[in-house]
Amino acid sequence: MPPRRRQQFTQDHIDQQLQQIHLLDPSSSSENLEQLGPIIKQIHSNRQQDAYLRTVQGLIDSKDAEIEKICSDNYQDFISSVSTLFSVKTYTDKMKENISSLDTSVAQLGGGLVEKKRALLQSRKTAANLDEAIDTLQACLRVLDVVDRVGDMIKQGKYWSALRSLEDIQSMPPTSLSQTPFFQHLLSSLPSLRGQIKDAVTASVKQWLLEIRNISTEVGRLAVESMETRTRRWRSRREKDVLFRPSRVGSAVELVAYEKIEFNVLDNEKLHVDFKPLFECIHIYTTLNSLSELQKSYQADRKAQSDLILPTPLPLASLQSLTQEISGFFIVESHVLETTGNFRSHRDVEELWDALVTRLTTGIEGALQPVIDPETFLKVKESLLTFIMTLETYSYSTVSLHAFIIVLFEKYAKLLETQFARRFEAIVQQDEHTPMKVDAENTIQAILDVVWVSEAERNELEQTPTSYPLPWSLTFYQSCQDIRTFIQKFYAFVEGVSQHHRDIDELLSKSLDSLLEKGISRSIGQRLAGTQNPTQIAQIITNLEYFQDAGSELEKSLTSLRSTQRGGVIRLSASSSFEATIGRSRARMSGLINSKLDQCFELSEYDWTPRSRETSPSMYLYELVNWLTTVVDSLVIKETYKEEAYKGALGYITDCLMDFLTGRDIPMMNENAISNILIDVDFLEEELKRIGRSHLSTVFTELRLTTSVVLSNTVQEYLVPANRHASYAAVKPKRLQALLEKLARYGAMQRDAAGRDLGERRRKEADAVGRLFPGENR
Amino acid sequence: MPPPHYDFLIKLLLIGDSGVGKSCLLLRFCDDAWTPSFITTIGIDFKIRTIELDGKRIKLQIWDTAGQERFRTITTAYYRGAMGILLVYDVTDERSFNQIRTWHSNIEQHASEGVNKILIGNKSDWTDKRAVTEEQGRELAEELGIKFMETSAKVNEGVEEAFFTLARDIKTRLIDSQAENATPGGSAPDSVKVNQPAAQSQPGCCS
Repeated sequence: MPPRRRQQFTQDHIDQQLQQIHLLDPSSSSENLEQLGPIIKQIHSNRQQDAYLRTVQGLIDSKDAEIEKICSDNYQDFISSVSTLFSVKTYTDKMKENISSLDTSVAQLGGGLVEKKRALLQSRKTAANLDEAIDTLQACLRVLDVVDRVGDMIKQGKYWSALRSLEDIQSMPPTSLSQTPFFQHLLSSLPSLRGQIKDAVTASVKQWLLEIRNISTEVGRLAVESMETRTRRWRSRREKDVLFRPSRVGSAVELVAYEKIEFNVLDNEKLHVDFKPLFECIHIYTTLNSLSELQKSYQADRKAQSDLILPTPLPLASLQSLTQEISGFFIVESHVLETTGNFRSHRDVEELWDALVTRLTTGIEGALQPVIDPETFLKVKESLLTFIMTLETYSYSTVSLHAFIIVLFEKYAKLLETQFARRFEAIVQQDEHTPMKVDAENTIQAILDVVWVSEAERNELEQTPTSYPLPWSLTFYQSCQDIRTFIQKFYAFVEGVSQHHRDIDELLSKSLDSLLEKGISRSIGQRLAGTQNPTQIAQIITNLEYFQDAGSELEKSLTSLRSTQRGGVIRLSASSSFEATIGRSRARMSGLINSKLDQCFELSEYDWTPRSRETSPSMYLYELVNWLTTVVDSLVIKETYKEEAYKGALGYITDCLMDFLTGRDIPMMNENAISNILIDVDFLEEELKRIGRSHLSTVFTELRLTTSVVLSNTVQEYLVPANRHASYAAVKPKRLQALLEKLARYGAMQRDAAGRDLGERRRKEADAVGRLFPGENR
Repeated sequence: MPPPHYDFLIKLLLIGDSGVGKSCLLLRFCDDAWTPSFITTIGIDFKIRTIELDGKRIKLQIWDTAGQERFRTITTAYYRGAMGILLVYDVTDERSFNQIRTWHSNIEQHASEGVNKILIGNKSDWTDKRAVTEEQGRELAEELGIKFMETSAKVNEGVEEAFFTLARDIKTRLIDSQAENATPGGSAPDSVKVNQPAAQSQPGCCS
């Protein structure tokens, strides 16, 4: 209520009003007090009651005085006025009472109204608050909805959208919400939401990595297959065109000539590798400015994966699938490197590659440690080679792998050598050393395809009919066969390995030489000791000669075999070893013959003091010569060797006979015995003439001369130096002396004087010869 | 050459078809060895083994002949010097058994009179391949009036017995009777006595 301006009543004013009251018609019975009401009220409201009352009191006092005066004058009037006054007072009281009750009731009414008004205002305020709250909540809801959708998007894999939404939230224009703790809280939770997105995207990449790991082998397998197809295509092309010969798959020529038939191993009808999760992850991480974190974890994950590929110890049986897995792994790496900009560095991938290659080579080396079968090496090499070629196309450095293959190759060659040396040894041991025969199973053509013989010999042998013996025995044929296999196996390892031609050819000639020398020549040498039969030894000699010839043929054919590649002439030096073994064989042959001759001589049963001279040769010698000519003549061997055998045998026979005559075993003998020996020598010379070898008779010169000195009594002549040198150069004084002593001993035993005299003469002659050349005790 | 370490020398001869195992019998008897390989004997070969019979050291020189026809002239030359002959056939090869009569008539024709003979059926271990029964062998031996024995050079069965039996027969025929008769110079043409100063060396058959 607007305060009303209070009317100040001055003394005058009150007086005036009181005058008015006074002015009232005092005569009227009904007091005109109506006019007084507002005045009182005014007084009341002006709180001038005291002043009023004072004024009234003053008025009363003046009036009392007046009254007293009047009373004094007009007493009566006074009394009547007192009564009037009393009534006025009564009325006034009454009015006062009325006013009071009125005031109370008005106050009562106003208070209620005020209450109501206050309640109304309160309600209005609440309603406005409510509206405001609803608005705010709705704004919050919108934000919350966005946040909620972020969660959904994460679940649905829409990481980028989720991230964008978060950004939207952050970059929302400031609203009433902006200042709310709710929004602050929301903002503070954004990093954790980003974290969720990151986690989710990381999880999806981890899942992807797992899948990649699972399909790596398949990727590798497809890559290897496509490489093999390419190799086959190139090989057939290479065979058609000589120009392409020296080039291998992956060489510049091949690359140019390679008709590109695109085959994407990562995306084809059999396989599709989806790199989206990775790209997405890279994108998200880039947005989150934590790409380096991802790079680090990716490298670590890939490192762990690459470490898991190869188990220890490495099972060779699954090497192929392992190398395929590695191929797949690095093909994926290569793809990632190409498609992700700066995400991966070449160094990262190379680091993985180098580590894995080292693990692989170490693993293979370890696994091959106890292996002695060259085939296993060959298989390992095949696996490695396709692996190398496959990854070379993805520009991975394969230098160390190539070097490793060469290391393997050296071991392989050694094993192969050992294996074949054993085979050759077995061949030589098992061969009966009898001539090989042409039969239905082994036609002459098939045999000639295997062995190395000169062109002339080949033409001659081509006419050999079935079941006819060939010059060589199985040793030669089977060895040639094995040498071919050996060379084939040797080069099988080199197939596809382009480097180090010269080294390999050198290694081959070294290995072959060693095989021919140790495996064949030495085995044959050892076999000789157990061979009793001259025919077999003759066969061995023939075989060895064929081996010698085969050596030079082999050199030629190896050089031409190799000319498809580069390299020099292949030289073998085993020939000298064969020569040496031939020498041993010949020695063995003459040793065998001599031991037989020895046995014959053991049965010679000469009588050294016969009474008469024989006219026919000894039985044993007849048998001996018969045996010797049969055996030597039937040997299938070069004429020079037969001649040598005869020469050796006759030398041995002469030595035996000379030993009878001049050695220590026979203490004494007579001239008849010497004559009998000469009959035998005559027989031997006859036999030599019969077999057309009379020139060999010269071996008997010493025997004949020595005995003739005795039998023709020409010792005195012999004692003359000039004669000795001219006619008896072949006679050795020491031996002549020994023979004379034997005769002397016989003579000393005789009962008749003539015999004893002769014996005495022989003794003197012996002494004389003994004195001749004391230093000449030959 | 030292004096011989034996009392008597006996020369034996192995004959029979090619492949019946003559060389194997010889290898078994002299070297106690065996080889599965078949190596044709070229012409003639011999081995020596000294055995002891009744306290006497007897040197056996055993001539192994080639069974192949192409060596026939070479081998027949050795018949005359032989004191005992082993006629060998293969019990798994009937042909070689049937050929025995031919070999026997060769002996009649070329060998010294009274030469000791024995019929040998070799490869007796090879039972599942046997083509000639032991009875057949025995019957033939009886018919030819000679001893009979089955042998296996491979499992060393009957080999010693065969050679010893023949050697003993020869010793009885030549050496023991000679000692009884005490004829100087030796009446039997093929007997041999060594270490006797007066003994003559044998005349060669080529004379």
